[in-house]
Amino acid sequence: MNSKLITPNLERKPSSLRYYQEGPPTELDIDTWSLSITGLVEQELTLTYQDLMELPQVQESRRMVCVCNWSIRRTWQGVLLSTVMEMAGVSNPEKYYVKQTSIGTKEKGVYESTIPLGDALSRRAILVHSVDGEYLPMEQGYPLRLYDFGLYGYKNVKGLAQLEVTDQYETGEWERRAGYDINGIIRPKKYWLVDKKEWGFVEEPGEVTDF
Amino acid sequence: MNNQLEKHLKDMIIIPRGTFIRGSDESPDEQPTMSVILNSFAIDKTPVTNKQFRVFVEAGGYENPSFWLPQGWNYITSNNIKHPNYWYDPNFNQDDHPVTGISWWEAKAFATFFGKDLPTEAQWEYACKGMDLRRFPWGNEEPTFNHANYAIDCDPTELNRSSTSVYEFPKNKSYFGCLDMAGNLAEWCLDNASINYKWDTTGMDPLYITIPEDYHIVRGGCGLHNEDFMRCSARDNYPVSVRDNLIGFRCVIHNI
Repeated sequence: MNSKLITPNLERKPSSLRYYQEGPPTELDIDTWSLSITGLVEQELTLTYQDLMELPQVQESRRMVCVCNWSIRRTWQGVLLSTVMEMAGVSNPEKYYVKQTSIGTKEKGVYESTIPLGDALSRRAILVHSVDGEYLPMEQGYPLRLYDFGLYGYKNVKGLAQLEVTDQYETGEWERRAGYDINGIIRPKKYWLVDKKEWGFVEEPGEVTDF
Repeated sequence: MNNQLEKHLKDMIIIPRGTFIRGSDESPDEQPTMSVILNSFAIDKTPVTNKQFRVFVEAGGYENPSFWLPQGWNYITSNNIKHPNYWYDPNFNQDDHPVTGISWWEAKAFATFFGKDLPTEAQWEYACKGMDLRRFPWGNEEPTFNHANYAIDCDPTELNRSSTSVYEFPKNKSYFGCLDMAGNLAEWCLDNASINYKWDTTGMDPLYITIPEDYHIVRGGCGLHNEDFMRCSARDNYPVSVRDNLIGFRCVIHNI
């Protein structure tokens, strides 16, 4: 791990397995994995891992927030969602949603979550493949996780396999299973800041930038 | 006292009219602190258990719209909800464990069925800390795993965690004698969520209501949250539809 990028107090980050409802894939061959971009696009795409790595990359320090009241600021690396959407030729994205579907497991199926596409693009959502200079750990969504940092983690699918541009705002897995809000916007509230080992009170909805 | 009321008051604690300091200086949402006056009320000694909730289920509570707010009835019928979300999960469905996986709508319907109500968050806080400004239900001693079911740093020790009996921690007893107010499951309140107490200008039986569908306050923390949420004054809130294994409830009778 790149020592300059290590997140403080990372050893106290709550386990991501608790929040990986369908579970990490039991087997994953990165040479055969791909991300498909389908739906209301001009050009459907199938991107291999290597394809993604050859696209323009970003590295940003941003805070993710779990609906269970903890959060952590880390350094995320990946490809902007906007890059892929431009490649697929999505016009008027503010009119559409993007439905994410995970690789899933035979036992538990797939995890789905739909988010407003225009909002995700305006918030610089990232297709994250690495964190703190290392590939995403399996339990945190290897090989790829879409992150809209204005939304709680349950809206951002781990082990991503498909993005479908749609005009339907569909209820996702965690909303169906446990009744959480479909919009999943981070609320003004008190959150445990894992990396700072302290509480922070967030005054405004959306991405947390104060801490 | 009539027989029906006497029956209702079984396993409840009567809290006389009184004044207490609501809120604290520990978090912006708990401010401003204020002297609050509450009329007398009765509150359940423990959270509603699975055994108690079974009475509602077996009496057809989920089939009878008369116990439900219209929005709640619409929610359970459109989602084909017939019982709590963790009703068949042995980690959470033991008789003396608090019922969980219930939306605010379900908690409210149960309370209506028994001629009760959910507590206002002021009632909940008063029942918890009484008049001596204690930080936790049991006093000011810092929590340990002998006090309550909670998670240091919001990271439970067991990945496959479970609830505990409402009688598991005798130390987890409030100023007025309520059990299990801290940890295990947070508890739904009657109030809608508010970012602080600036809305309260009178301090008389305060209650913050917007519309039923808005987020509602929960109190007390749970097995997934850390010790700060177990403070008597700590506040949290969730969508009314949430049926996660974080939240239960207890009931009150107002103006007893």
